[in-house]
Amino acid sequence: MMALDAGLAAAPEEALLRLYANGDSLAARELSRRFLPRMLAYARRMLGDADEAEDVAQEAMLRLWRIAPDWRSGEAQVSTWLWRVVANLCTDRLRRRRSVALDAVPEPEDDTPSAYSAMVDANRAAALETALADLPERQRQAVVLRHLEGLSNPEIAEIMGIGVEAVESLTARGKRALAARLAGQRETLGYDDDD
Amino acid sequence: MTTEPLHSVADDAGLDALFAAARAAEAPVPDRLLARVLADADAHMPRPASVAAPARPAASRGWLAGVLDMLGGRGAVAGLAAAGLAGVWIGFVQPVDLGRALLQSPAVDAVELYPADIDQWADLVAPETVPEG
Repeated sequence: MMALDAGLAAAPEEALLRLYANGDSLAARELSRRFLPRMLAYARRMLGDADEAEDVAQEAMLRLWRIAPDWRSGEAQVSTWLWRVVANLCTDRLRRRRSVALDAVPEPEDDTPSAYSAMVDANRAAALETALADLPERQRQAVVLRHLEGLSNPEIAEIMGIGVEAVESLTARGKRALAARLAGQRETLGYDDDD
Repeated sequence: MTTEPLHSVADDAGLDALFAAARAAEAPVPDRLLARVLADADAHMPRPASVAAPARPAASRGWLAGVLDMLGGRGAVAGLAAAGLAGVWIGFVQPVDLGRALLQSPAVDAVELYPADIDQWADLVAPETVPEG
């Protein structure tokens, strides 16, 4: 049975997983469309390495395909489960590294000369990614999940295995650290002159 | 994407603009990665049971179930004791070692109500109905 892509786009993630487990390859495509970009973006920011990030994202999705037939309805959110998998995979990789190599910070793709606003946006993005890469792992994780992935504090708490207050503390400290690192880049970040 | 001047990076509005810029600048998923992920999905996708296992023959469910089906189902023989059924069965099937037949494994391929050997019917049929030649 072929389901229309438009219909699948509105399907809840658990329904998609059920469809996939019943042999629907379009459901796998929709699940990939939904989750893979987020898994990859998160892994890129945590690991600072595009190739490693791709490996982690692929591994996380692989674990989703494997668990699909055994997925028990109503016990957990598919997305939260997947976030936890990719977060743990990244943590494992970071711990295995003897030294954290942050030279491969993800950069915006387009660096051709462009209008001022586009250049400032690119500078802002690059500046933020660089500053993020400098954060301690747990602060980086909390800030990325909260302010780049838009997850709620309770969900982040579940993913990181800590309390909500601990998430808020990590996020607050992380943002203060980012602000401190970025304070010296007024021009490239497009600050107005009053400051 | 409007680029508003930031007053300070230290306040939430300042950082929010940077977060927004970072999100917008994310590189797309490389095609090769998507291809690998979908290949994994295909490799691990349970195949639907499009060819269902054929329904087992009624007789293989047990010789008594097979007999009931042939006699019209449970409703038709409701009330008959199993021994009575066995008697009906015994009356049809011969020659058979009854002891062994009753203890026969339920996994029988067929319940023979009519003996394969047609000659054995001859004794039960009036001579004038036996076709000539």
